[in-house]
Amino acid sequence: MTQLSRRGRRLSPAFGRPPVRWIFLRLLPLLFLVGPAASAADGAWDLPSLLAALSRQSLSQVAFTETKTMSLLKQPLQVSGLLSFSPPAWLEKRITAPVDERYRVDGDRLTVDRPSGGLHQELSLSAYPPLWAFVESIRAPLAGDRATLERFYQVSLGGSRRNWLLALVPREPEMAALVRSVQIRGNEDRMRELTIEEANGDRSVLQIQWPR
Amino acid sequence: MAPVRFARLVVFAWLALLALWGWQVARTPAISDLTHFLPTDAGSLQRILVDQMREGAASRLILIALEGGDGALLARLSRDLGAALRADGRFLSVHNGNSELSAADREFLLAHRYQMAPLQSAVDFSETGLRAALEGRLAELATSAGLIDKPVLARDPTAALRQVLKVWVPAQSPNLQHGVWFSRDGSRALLVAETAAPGFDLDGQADTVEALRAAFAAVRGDSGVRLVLAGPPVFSVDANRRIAGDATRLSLLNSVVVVGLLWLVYRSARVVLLGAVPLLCGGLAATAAVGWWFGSIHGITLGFGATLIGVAADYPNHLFTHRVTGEPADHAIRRIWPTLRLGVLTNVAGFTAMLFSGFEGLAQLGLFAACGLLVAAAAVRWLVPLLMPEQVPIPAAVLRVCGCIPTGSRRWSWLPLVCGCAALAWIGWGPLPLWNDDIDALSPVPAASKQLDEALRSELGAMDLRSLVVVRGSDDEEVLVRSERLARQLDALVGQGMLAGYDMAARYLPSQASQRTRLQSIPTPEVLRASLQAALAGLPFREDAFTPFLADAAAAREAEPLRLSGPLPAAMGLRVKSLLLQWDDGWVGLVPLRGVSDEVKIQTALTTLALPGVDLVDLRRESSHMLSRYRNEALELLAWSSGAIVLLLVAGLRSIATAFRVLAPMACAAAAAAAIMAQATHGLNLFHLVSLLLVMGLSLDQALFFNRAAADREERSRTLLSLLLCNGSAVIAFGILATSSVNILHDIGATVALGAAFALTFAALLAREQDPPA
Repeated sequence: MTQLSRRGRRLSPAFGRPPVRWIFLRLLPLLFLVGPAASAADGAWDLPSLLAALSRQSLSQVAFTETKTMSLLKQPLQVSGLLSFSPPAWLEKRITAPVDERYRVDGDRLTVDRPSGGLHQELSLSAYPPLWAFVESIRAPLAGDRATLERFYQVSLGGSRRNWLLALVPREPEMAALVRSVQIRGNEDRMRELTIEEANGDRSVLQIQWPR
Repeated sequence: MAPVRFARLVVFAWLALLALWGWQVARTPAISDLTHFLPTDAGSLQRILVDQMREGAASRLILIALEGGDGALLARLSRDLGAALRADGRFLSVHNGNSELSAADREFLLAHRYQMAPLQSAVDFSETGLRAALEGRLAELATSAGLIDKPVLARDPTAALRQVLKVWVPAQSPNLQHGVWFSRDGSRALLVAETAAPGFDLDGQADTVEALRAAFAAVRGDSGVRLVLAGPPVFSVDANRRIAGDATRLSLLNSVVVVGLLWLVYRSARVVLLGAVPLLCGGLAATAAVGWWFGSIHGITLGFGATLIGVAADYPNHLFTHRVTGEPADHAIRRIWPTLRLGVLTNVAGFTAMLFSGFEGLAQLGLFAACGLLVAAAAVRWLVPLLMPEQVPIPAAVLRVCGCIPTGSRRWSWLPLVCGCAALAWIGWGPLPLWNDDIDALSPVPAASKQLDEALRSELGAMDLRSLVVVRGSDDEEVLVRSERLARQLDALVGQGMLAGYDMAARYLPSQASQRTRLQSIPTPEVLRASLQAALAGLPFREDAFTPFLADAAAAREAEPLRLSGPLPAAMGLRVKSLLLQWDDGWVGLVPLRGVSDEVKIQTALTTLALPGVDLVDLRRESSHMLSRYRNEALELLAWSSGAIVLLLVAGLRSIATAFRVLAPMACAAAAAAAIMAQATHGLNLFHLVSLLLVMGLSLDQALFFNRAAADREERSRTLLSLLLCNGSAVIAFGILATSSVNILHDIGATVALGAAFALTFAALLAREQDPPA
């Protein structure tokens, strides 16, 4: 697989507090559209081409770090682990610190294993709509599954091929009560950063550390 | 002419009586309520059980499986079917794993989480307890699933709500796929529906099952997915339909064959039709009498009673065959009347004893049979002769053939007695028990359906009355307190693997006492604040993060315990009320047990504990107990009536020897039929017993005619023809019934056909040797 550029411009995660941040988020894709002049040179850049590009990539044990900022916590919680995806519907998120825990999604089935607590749980995603929506925010883009993505989210794409932003706003009220938006940033066919803005102001930023 | 006017008078009087009976029958409700078959002094446990079978939640459960498609399709159909049924008022509730608790229900549980928490998981409000809870929550926050519980985290750091939800949405509930319940192998989507119509309302349940099938047909489209149903409503509706269908089909076949046989002999449609009149009159009068005396008639009385008065079908045949060419009908009936009358009276005497039964069902049956036979006999005596044609031309060849049949063989007269004694010995000392008191032997549900029911039930963990603990108390609170005490013991049994689980009202609604204890275990706001502060030390949570928790706890301390009569959300109230009922002047809690590995051990365990007001009811044992009481009472009454029959016969026949010739074939035939049927069907049940009563009635009647002194050879031939005809029609009619696939009809048919054949053979062998005057 051709890897065009690994240089992704990283945006600062610091936005204002709502509602300023909220408005800003909505406008963000527009800013990207009028922003970097380089985008024009890339030819047609739209959702189908992004999804097609993403679906050509597969993830195998790629390291990630996640920073969770919560109103309940004095300082952000740092989580790290490994992420794997194999098309069309298999996704694994393995947390190695601070606890050891493994989430595996295959189709509709979510398996949770926590070796330390002896926990093994299997559940059906469709029984937990918010959880399902959450899973699809990562899985559907990786799988290039536009129908599923648009079933759960209002999707808007901004930026350029080299630096894109996919903004997802939940459609289902149950999910919307928990999550305000999901923003995925990346370059070319790589997902770089996934930010979840929760309804109560909490947020988590997951960064994927692609091997160099 | 005086006789003509008299005849008209009789016919009109008869028509008037028929109208009167018809009117009474029209206003007699036919019921299928099992409680009438309970003894009047039944224990309250038995009454609770029967009540549950009649209208309890278990009697309303339909287990539904969808199969024959891929998972996503089955799940979609399950959701669509669930939605369609929930919109239909004929279903109280429909569960398929989808949206088990509404948001309002969840909110209610959250608000009352401290008092509704299950027994085993009281919240630990101490510093160490809080610390452990907070550490647990922190670990969960690191994971993705923490997202779901996070909105209530500030209010509920000890995750008390999760414990409450475990009770309402149990973990052992079926396997979820695509958001709905599936069988473990994933081949079937599962649903449970509860009908609004109670178990005893067969028509209502039939209508509901029909609605379910129609709803499925509508959502299925052309997907080829199949609907599989189990559960009491489906089975009883299905059994009812099969029995009614088989009974109708086979009776029709019976009628055609028997009418054909009669027509061959009588060659007169009028005579054949006339032959049915006494039986019809008897049935009508009997139904009217039962309705008038008891206010209603039970479906079982009607079915069994109609079988028992079948002997009345013989009466007109005796008249038709015995009438000599040219003889006035009135004269012919006078000749045979003493014999016929004795037969009727002995039969009626037999059934009269049942009138004194403590079981209303038996008393109804006794009245029905006695009344039906009397009226049928009266019709033969006074009505039928008036309506008979001038001639009943019986072909001479038929009479000649009958005349050649040897009877009263001295050489073979030992055979019936030997057969009878051998049968009795086999019954008494044989390898098999005479009676089969297993309720399943009476159940018309086919074995395949029972297996399906068990399979679905174990997948769904659905309520079953097979083993049930009943907790009684003077009020709901006492029942709940006793249930909680029982729960501790049952938990221990679950731990030992003797039990898979149980359900009880106290799981959902703890007793006032427990709720109070739990609410009082919440520390005062100051103490709780201090413990929380200490527990938070060194953790990354903000100091003020759990202020909502402190507020909730302070409010809970002041809360009143929830009551059954209080403001429970509808769905929750329904769940509790199906397990906690008002009964007589007290209250009853039902605790259905699941996956009992050893009934005896559970019984022993509960007996040793001797919890007050707690009894284990084993449906199978209790119903067997009821059945055997029922049967024993019937047998005891039968013994009394046998005495009366013997006295009547000896008095009527004025000869002990003749009485013996009449009684012996009856007794031997009944014994032989009983022995064979007991061997063939692994013990006799209630249906066999009723059939044997009919065999005895038929046999008594026929043996009386066998031993009637005949005036000449022709009359002897006529008697033999009469008996062959009567017996032949009985054997044919019940033989056809025996081909039914429904066990009830098969049992009755086989027993009567066999017994009737024995009875005639034995009576012929034992009859007095007659040398008709040359």
